[in-house]
Amino acid sequence: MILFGILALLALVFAVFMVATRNAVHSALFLIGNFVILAILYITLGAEFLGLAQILVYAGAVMVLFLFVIAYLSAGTEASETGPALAWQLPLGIAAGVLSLGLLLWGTLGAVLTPTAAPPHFGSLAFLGRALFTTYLFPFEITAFLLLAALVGVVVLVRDER
Amino acid sequence: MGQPYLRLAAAALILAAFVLGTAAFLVWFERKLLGRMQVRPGPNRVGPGGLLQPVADILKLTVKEDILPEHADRPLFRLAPLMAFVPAFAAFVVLPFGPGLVSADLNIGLLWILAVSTVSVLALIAAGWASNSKYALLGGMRAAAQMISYEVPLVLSLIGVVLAAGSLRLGRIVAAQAHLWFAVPQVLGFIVYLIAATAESNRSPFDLPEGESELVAGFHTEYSGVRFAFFFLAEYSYVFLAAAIATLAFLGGWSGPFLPPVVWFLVKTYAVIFFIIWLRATLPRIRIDQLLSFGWKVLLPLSLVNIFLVGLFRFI
Amino acid sequence: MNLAALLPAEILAGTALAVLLADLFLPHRDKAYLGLLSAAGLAAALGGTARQLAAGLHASLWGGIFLLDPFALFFQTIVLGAALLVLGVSLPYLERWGRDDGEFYALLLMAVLGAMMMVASRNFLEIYVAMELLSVSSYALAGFLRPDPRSGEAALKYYLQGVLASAALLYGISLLYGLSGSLDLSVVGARSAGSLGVVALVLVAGGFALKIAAVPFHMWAPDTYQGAPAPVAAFLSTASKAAAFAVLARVLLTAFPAAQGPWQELFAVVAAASMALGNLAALGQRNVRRMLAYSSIAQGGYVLIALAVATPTAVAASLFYLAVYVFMNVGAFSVLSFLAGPTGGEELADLDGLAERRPALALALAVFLISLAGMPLTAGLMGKLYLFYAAVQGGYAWLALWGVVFTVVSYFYYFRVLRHLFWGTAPPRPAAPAASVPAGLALGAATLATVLFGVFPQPLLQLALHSLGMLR
Repeated sequence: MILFGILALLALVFAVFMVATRNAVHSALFLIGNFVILAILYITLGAEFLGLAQILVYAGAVMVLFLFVIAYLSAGTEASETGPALAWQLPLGIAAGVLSLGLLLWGTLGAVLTPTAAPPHFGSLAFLGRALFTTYLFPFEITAFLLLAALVGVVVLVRDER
Repeated sequence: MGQPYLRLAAAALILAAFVLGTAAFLVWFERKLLGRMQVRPGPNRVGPGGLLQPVADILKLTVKEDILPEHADRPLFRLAPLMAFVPAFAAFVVLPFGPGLVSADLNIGLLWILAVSTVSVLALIAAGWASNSKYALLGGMRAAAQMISYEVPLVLSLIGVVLAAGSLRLGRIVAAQAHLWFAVPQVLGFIVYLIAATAESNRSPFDLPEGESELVAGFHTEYSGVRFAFFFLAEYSYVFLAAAIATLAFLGGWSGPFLPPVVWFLVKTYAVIFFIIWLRATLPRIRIDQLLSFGWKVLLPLSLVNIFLVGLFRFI
Repeated sequence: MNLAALLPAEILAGTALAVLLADLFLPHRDKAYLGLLSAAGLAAALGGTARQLAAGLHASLWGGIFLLDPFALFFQTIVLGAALLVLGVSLPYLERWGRDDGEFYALLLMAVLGAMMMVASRNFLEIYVAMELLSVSSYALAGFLRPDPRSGEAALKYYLQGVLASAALLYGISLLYGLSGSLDLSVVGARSAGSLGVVALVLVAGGFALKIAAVPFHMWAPDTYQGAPAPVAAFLSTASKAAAFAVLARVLLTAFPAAQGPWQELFAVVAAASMALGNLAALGQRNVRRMLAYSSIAQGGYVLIALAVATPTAVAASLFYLAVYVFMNVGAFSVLSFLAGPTGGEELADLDGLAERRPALALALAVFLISLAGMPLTAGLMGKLYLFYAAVQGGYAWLALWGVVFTVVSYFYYFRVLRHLFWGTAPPRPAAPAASVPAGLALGAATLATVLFGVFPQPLLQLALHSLGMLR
């Protein structure tokens, strides 16, 4: 419980810094920090595979691509400044944020929780594999199509014109 | 309660000493071997056969000035060498040197090594970016492109092994090869793994991120002193790791007749390391576009074919 | 496990893959065959689904993750029908733009596959994955004419807001999962009482509302409908919208019947706002496609009345409306797609005197617009009548009145187009390219259906009512 508190706090700190920092590379690195904490949270909950997959896929692959693109596009330049055209959006954004936070707080504080015990070995690799290839086989296959569509879509959007 | 933590701490200390010693030894090993292959003696002044040369190098590096480039991103510049080394060290934690000779026997050990070691790529990009130098940046970008491209065939080639062994626990994988090394039925996977692992650890002929003739020294151009030593350490740790995984996953791990398991493990690992150094002495560096298209168009399909074959044989 | 029940989806998936593969090997001048192959796959899937619907199939697959009931089949038929019409129109359109590549057909087929899976899911995981398949394919389709910056803008705006909606949906789903320990629709609702359940429901509804382009989530629609390839805009405004509505209705009616009070009020407000904003904003548009986009927001508002009222009659009326809406809206966008070349040509002034230049096209467009406006002898009128009637019956007379008022407002902009069509003076300009056979077929079918269902609405309404049987 204490461990969870520390990790949760750290994850929050990373998330806040990620949004607050002006430097895109730092922002990406804070996000990675957040992902790593999240992975540790998964592991403390007994889902080791999920935690490591999170690191492998997000910290190791997705964020590397992020950093790659950031470094590629903005090497040496500082983060963009907020122009005057966007100034009026700031109060609106704050209002929307406060509203969402209020809604979530209202929801969380008034929540009626009925904890149910997780099935044995929940989160283990064997459990996950079995769930993916039996119960959720169909969504799993659809995910394959989803990735294919994303792949084709990206090629369509970025390829050179003949 | 205190017992497991104590054990872990002791294991960590021993591992740290081992990693340092191995890296130092590997530096000597490589220089000596390259020297022999190029018909020259190699280091031979400090200690017997030049064996203490790395010690002298380490001493030299620690007393050297730690230079921070102007307009560098200071916190990131300082953090990057650690980000490179810590994952490499963390990966050693699950490495079994013999039956039971392992700091933490995770049931997903192989995945742990793969996951943790990917974090190093971030360090290379961060180092390249934070240095505020075009050579370093180009080196970091190349490292990212290369490591992402070769990560995929690397992982896929190991999936064949995992499929055949039915576990991600390294001990189980070794046990599953009691009768036949996986390198024999999965020769395709083994070849893909060796190539991809060489590329993952940025070794020649895939050492583009630090190609001297074009990028000075790549991502660590601006680094000096101890911080440089950390990158060095990380690189040699990965060479050892790559060879160790090849041993565990394809060459039957520590199993072998007569000699004690640890010796077998080290002998096999060093044989693989010898092969990797041999490659460096023999092959010229390839171009970045060749490197990427080779990774995606040749290695990736081959590793998929390997998985398919393994699955097919297991199914039958 | 009943794989035969999934045959239409399997045909579709197989066709998509075949098109992608064949695209590699076909020389460029033969790409039109890919379109025909896709059309054949769609037609086969449509035939299969319609047969299942006629047979009253009710199959639960994979432990209830996937449910092929008449409700799902009804919407699958709608989506497949819309896609077939869109495909027919796309053939000459893409050819004119020089972009008749296989990827377009493959992406369209995959989008349809996503929509088909979506409406037949009873599990949040499957709903999410299928919806993402529909979304991702749609983003790429919207940006398919990328050399045109407006197409890129269409894709980017849709993508950014779509991702936000997906995040909201996922957040809501994760809350529901945390509350109930399940992703099954029939289990989730029962265990998600309390305020957190309400928050989760709002988030989930927001995720679907984007696809319907209901008011707080409508911002992408005008830019995307205007910039995307016209057939894609037609697809997004009909098939995609219908699928999202189907899922929303299923989630609300099967998982949360207990919480009816709150969400009914919520959707009453959303429906009212959509009608008002869509119709008022459409008044000021000079670009016809943009006008149709706002009109589509308003039409979404009419349909959402059904969720506010939440009686079987109302939902059946919405099913009827969505079905006929496919014909009239795909039809309207299609006519525009014939007129517009790469140089634009979708302004009101461009329609001047179309009745003299292309009488058939002008007549078809007139039929679609009259139907969208809801005039007698068209399917649009019957749809609106049923909806408003159900609203009055269900105690939402004010919503019906609101709808009638804004329907009258909508006459202004629909009839303005008609004025340009029939009474505008034709400027001397090169004649629009002749419509091809598949496009002509699609347009003819759409026109015929719009009138037919206006005169004989009963069979379709009966089918809609029947399709609801299993839902309640």
